[in-house]
Amino acid sequence: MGLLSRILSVFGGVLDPRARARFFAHRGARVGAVLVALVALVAIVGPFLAPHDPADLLANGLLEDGTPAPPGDLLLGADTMGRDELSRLLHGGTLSLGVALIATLIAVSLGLVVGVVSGSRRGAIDSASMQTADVLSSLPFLLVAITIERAIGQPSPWSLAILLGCLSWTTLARVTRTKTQQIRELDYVLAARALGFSEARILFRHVLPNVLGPAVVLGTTLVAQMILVESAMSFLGVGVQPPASTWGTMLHDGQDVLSIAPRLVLYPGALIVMTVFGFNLLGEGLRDAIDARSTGAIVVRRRADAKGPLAARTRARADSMGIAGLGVLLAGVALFAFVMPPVPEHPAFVGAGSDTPVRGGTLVVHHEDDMRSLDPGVAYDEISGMGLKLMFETLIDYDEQLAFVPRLARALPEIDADGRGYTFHLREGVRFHPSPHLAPDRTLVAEDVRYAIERVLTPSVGSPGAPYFRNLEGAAEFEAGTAPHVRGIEVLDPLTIHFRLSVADQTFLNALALTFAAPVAREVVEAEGSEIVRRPIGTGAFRLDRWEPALRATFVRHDDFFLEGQPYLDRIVLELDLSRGPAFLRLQAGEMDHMHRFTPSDNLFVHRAPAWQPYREDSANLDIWGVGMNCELEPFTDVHVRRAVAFAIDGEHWRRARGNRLRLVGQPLPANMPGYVPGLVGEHHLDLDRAREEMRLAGHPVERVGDRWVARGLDPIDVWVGSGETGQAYGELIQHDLAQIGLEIRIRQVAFPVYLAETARRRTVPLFLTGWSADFPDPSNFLDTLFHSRSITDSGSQNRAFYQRPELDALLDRARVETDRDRRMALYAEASRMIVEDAPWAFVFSNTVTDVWQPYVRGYHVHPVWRPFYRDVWLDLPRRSARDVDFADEGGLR
Amino acid sequence: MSDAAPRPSLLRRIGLRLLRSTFVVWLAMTLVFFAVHGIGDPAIATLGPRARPEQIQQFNERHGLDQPIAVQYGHFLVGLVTFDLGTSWRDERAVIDVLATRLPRTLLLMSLATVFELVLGLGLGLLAARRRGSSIDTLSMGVAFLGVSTPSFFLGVLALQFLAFRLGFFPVGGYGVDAADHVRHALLPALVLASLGAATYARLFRSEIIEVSAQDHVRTARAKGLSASRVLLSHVVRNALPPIVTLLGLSLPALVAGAVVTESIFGWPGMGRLAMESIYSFDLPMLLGIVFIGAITVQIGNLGAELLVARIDPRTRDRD
Repeated sequence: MGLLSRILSVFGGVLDPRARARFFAHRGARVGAVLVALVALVAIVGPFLAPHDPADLLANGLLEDGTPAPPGDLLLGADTMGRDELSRLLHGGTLSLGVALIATLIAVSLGLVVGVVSGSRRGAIDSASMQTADVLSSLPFLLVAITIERAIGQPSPWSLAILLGCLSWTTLARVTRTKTQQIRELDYVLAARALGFSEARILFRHVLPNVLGPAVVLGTTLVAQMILVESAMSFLGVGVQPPASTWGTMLHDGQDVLSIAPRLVLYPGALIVMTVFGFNLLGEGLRDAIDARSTGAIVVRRRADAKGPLAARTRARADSMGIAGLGVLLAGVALFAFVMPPVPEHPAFVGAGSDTPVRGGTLVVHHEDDMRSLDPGVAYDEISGMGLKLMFETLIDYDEQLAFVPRLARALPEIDADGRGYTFHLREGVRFHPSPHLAPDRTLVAEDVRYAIERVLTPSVGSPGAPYFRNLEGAAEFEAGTAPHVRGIEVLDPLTIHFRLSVADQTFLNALALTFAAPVAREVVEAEGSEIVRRPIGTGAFRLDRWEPALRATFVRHDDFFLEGQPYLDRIVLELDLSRGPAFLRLQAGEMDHMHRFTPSDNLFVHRAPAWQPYREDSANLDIWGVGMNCELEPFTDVHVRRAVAFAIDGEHWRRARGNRLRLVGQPLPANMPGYVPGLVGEHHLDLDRAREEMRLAGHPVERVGDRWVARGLDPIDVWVGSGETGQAYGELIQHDLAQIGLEIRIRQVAFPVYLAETARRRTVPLFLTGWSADFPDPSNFLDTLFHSRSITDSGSQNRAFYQRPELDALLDRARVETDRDRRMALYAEASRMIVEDAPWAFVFSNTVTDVWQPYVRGYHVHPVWRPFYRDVWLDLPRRSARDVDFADEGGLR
Repeated sequence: MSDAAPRPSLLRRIGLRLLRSTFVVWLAMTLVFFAVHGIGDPAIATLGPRARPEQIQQFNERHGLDQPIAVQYGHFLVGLVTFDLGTSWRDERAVIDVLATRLPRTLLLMSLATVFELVLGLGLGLLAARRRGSSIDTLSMGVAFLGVSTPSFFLGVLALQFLAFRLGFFPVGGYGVDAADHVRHALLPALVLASLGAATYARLFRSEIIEVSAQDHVRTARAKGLSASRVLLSHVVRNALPPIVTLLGLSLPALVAGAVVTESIFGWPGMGRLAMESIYSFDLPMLLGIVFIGAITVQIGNLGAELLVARIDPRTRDRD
């Protein structure tokens, strides 16, 4: 007997003519079969029908303001990145279904083998395999799958399918085992054995045909479950990795634009439901068809198993039920798409109408990441800075016009005749936040200022702020441990301090305005030890009440704040680790009071909705963003490769994909920064021919292979980005742009603290999305910090590109001490040119920041350096519902 | 029913069952441990597949991964037994402390979800069974069938946008500030989390009720002249419940897994979201801790379900 006919006869056993007839008479099964056939058809021929490459960022995919193109030119419109939605759906189906089918095949084969083996042999093998099955089925499946999938260095759809298959064979194994045991006891099998037929023959002839029935039924429902698990994992970002995508990833991408393009969620979502529904229905139909044939002896019934066959009469009429379910699904989708109330276009609450500041109230704000540290000597990232500025005061600060104003100092400093010395007089009676480690009458003294700065300069503290203070006289001796104090910091009396620099430095006062220089009490720092990062004690307007990691930080008013009557707020709640999309929903619902970062679609919304306009302000941020390249790691050791990357970035598409709030910049300084070089813009904007030419010069000629570009002699490269929507979007943009010069880029999304730590480590991260926000408005804050070799350390480098060039160092050092402003800026311009030429980064954009606050939030001003800056805010309470408010009369609108 | 209620035997059974649970948790953790360290490689998972050897070595030294695997496994086991799960790679806090804050939040969500599952599932199942064959039956089973086919992330995203945000029925995600507020914030995620279970129970409960209703003792009770509601409650529902309770125990893994998705969507700061945070930073000690607590939760749930079944279903008590 040929193999083929044997297989056929086996399947004949699964569906004998009567069962087949029952199957085809079953309306539910027919509906299921049609759905499954449709999906299968899409999966098989879909990729050939797709009008576009699913990974292509189409020029007509995004409108000028960044809205995904609505259906029209592109049949189903474009997604958030400007890719063809239809093509992505068609390709996504293939992958979703492919992964699910392979996983199921693996699970079914494993289940059958394990089941038959342990069913035919009792004893150790049997009990071991059933124990394993028990363990596997009691594991929190998704958690385990995610953990293992992530532990595999480079996940792929294959690894995902294998993993899912290996975790899902247990139910079938159990059913098969029981059935095998039962069949082996049947008379005709006993007879066959008595006749001396081999075990193999018994297995093939008698056991296998009988266990295949349940295998087909369970396998069909398993496909449905595998699709669910795969799409859940992809939705969470740990399944199929970009540029590949499945319906799960598409749904994930679509959730942030639900208010302007619900189709991007509804299409993939409805497809997943329909596919799963189809497979479930088909499974149900098959069960009905096969079951009715079953003789009593081989009906397997585990009472606890919901999927176990039940007596036919208890079953719902699967046919009409399936159609009813499908009807409900369509009605539901229609309901969501057409009947639901639209997005409310105005704020939910307005203020009471007071014109003078009122004390009291809680301000609720958010950030996407968790804080890393609240130690002012160490923390140097945006979110920690936000908290630090509330809790720590410095000798001087900036006003809104960027002029220095005294804070803890009574007045601006007296400057020595040679410009190298500064004398500060401190305010009297300034009190720290309450702490058990402080004496009751303890007030701020000059020694606290010295201690703070010396702490920053202490190597074991590892402060990224140390470079700002190395110009103090004697700093080197102190750092080397040969001097007990920094000679250049003199405490003249308890309230007077004098700083003396080695060379005159235009930026020293800026450094004193950083929270690195915020005075801290030695006794507190020493008593708290490593806990100081979580229990900061400063002199600022607010003190930390509670920091619940990854949830929220609560700051309360410092009652002994040195400015009488301030601050106004009782409390500031900073919700942590809350992404932009959900945060904006809360802002609209009145549960959040201020935001300054939005998803692209929300950004469009706040610029369009008339009622929000009085409560919004756009401002150019003092920042620069781009693609950082590690100059110590291959292939970015070669300047040609780095230039190629810079030429390959399509900034214009980035601008549109990010909701139109990027200002394109081709150099290290943003346009609103002194020292910006107007002519330099555009030099490094998209020019793929030049980019490929640079690749050729680097010895990696780029060739067209099939439908993609390949650079000779290069391995795939990881690009590191932060977690969350933003990181993912930029990762995909970089991935797409660099594919044009033949670089295969893989996206590594990591938590922000990990990103910060690893990019700062020498020879670790090759390629990364990077940016810098000014902490004082001077070119040195960008150029020295980011590109001077002095900013390189082994594990805490601010120069994350690890770029060094002695000529640049010399230039920057000269500029730093140059007192003539024009000559100084000319030096910085020259430095910028040098940096652009060497391309340690591909400079791409700076941000336009949009601040949006509730009508009842008053006194919020966009600060040029510290943003967001809540210290002086007050709330116009009690707030009242805005339901009856006519916003055309209310705010400054018209 | 036997009068000699075998109390000691029950205790012994619980003891044995606990032993077995311990064994299952051990085996599970061992499997995961070796999957992570054998198939995977923590250093590569963190640093990327193109990390250089000295980088990997540095990383392994920092995290004690340079010791022989047997030694690491030993430490791991000792850690599990003493509930000392190490410190997070991400922020150096003790894993057990973090889990201690996160677990109660997830338990709140899961218990609320279980209540919804039972109320909705049993209600729908009972309704369908009582109106068997009617259009109500068809419709409710259709909804239930849709329920088992709808991924919770799809439902969650839609619910957050429409039910919470546009209609304002629920808070728009988050955790709230005090106990009552926590519950208020948990309602919608719990409903979403409950959808799969509710649909499953509705289908199972319907068929159980129909099956039990046809049994002799129910016919007898009816013949004795007991009121319809009395028959339904003490004869039908009571006997249809045990499979539901058993399934409740068995579906705990799905509930834990569902929490990962739901918590991520609704910004609920429980273990599921912690799992996602730890995934992005590949915080291995934290992940293993979460799997460990998840496995224990599942075992306790199973045990609870078995005890409950033993209480409400005398037949199981008499067995073995």
